[in-house]
Amino acid sequence: MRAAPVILVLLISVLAPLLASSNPDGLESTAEKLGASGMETVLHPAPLADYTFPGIQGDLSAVFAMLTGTGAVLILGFLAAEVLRSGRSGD
Amino acid sequence: MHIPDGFLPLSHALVYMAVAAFFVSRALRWARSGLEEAPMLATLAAGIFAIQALNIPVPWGTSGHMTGGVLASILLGSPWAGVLILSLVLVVQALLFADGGITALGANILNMGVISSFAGYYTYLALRRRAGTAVASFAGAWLGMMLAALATAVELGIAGTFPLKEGIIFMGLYHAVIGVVAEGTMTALVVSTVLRLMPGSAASPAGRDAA
Repeated sequence: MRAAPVILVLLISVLAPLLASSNPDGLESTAEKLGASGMETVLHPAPLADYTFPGIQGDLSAVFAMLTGTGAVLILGFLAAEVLRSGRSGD
Repeated sequence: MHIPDGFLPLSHALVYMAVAAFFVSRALRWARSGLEEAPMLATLAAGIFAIQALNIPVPWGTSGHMTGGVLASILLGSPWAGVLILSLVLVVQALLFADGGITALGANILNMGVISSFAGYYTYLALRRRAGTAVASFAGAWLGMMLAALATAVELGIAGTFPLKEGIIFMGLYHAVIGVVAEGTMTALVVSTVLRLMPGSAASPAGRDAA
């Protein structure tokens, strides 16, 4: 795996939660305008809910949560792609 | 525009899940025969996950982030890449972060993965020779985001969560702007940069799909 793109992605993961606007997003704003915000439910205990890492406070919590998520996507993506590609040689 | 749990009745959610499952299975088939590079797919998926956390402020006290399906499709030369990568990102966001509902996963994959990727990628293909890759990727990304937002509004309108007309107006208005400042601009920037660094990549007019 080439290092430069991975480093760039990790850098975005660290910076994004620090730079991101905390305004509601387009769908949340629409829901607020149209009185639907209260309908939102959470069905399962997500370990990193609201992009916070349990037991850590402040900005660092968001950074750790993001790095965990980015790492999870990176590993799952690599494994999935390898499994799918390896299926090809057996065709 | 991640739909949370509670916004769609379960029966509707299951229909969208069935439709999404059909497209995801086709995307997996594409990956089995057409995917060249596992590290590229993984890095791109992780990058899209990361950039989705970067909410950019837009007028009216709201914000929005890039969704990335069109970018993934252009860079890997197939809309199925966008479907696959967005599915992976949306599953991780729903399970680990409760960002987008578990029951709404099908609808979210359909909107941001399928509709956005297909509309955006084919707009890009149609425009890139005449308008150049930067303009074509901007237009494709903007349209992909708009159609995903409008599809979300229609789904929530059918569900009775939003009044249909007002939902379309607000979702359309917000995402017309988010589509410019986030999706369109960033997609054009990344595609142009990748083409400069890797002129022979799948995103170029000489790339795989155009051959």
